[in-house]
Amino acid sequence: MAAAFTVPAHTTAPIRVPALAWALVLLGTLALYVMLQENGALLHHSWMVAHELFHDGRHALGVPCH
Amino acid sequence: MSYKPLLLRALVAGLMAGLLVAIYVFAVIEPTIDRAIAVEHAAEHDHGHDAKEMFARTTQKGGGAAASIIYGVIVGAIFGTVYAAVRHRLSLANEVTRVAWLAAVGFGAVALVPAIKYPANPPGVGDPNTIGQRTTQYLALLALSILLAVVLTHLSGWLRHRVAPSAHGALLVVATVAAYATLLAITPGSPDTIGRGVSAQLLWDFRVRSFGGLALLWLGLGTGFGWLLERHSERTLEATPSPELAGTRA
Repeated sequence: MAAAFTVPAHTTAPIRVPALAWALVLLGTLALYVMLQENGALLHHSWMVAHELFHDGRHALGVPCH
Repeated sequence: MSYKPLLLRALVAGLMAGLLVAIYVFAVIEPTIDRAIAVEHAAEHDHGHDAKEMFARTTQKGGGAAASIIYGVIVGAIFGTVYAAVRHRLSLANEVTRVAWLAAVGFGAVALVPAIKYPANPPGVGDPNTIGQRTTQYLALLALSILLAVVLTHLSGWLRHRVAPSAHGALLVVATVAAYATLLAITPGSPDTIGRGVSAQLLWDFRVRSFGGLALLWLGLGTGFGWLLERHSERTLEATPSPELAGTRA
């Protein structure tokens, strides 16, 4: 199946993505969650500081907010 | 091309796009947030309780700008890594067009689809009692939207050698529209109702401006990253010409 949409190799060779890069993606996703989504559902209530600080950003970026 | 120089350029493009959005948020979105907060405070005052805020408005405006920049950098890093993983599968001519294509898919799946189902709301609209439910709904839609984009990409590859090239594009458009229309139809709507003196004009202004910010981010990231990567790719080709390409470039 992968072969079906792999263009000839000499045009674009695959890039080796290190495993650490995917850890970085996971970390980034987690950071986005804390910054934009955390409403006290998952973490301690003290994390609400982040909620209040990034309040305008949440509204501007269109994520749910109070 | 290797991962590290690519990631670096994705981070730079994300930072620049984030800065652009921060300026946009400050100049275009903040005035509507101020309007909404004025409405919210008037309503609270009428009911005899003035809410005590944790941060001053100026701090929150700084936080809004900071959020935009951090968002740009992190989305840039994630986008760059996904691009590195799928780049060789995108049958387009160069980095600019490949990045633009993936950015268009990203914008559609991550920004457009959630914005249609759960449009942005200014402060004072959301019910604090439903925030948990709304967050779950939003994240579920976001996850399903990204999943559909991946499935449709695989469908595109699967169809490539099974249908005529002329039918391939049309079939893909039909499949994409049908899949996302179904997703938007079956996901539950927001439990909140718009009330408490928020006018339709204010709501519309805010939603259009918020969506403009998301569009700006993806546009900035998509064009900036593509441009930086294309430049890098041309330079590395010049530095180490492979015998295969040397002939075609002469």
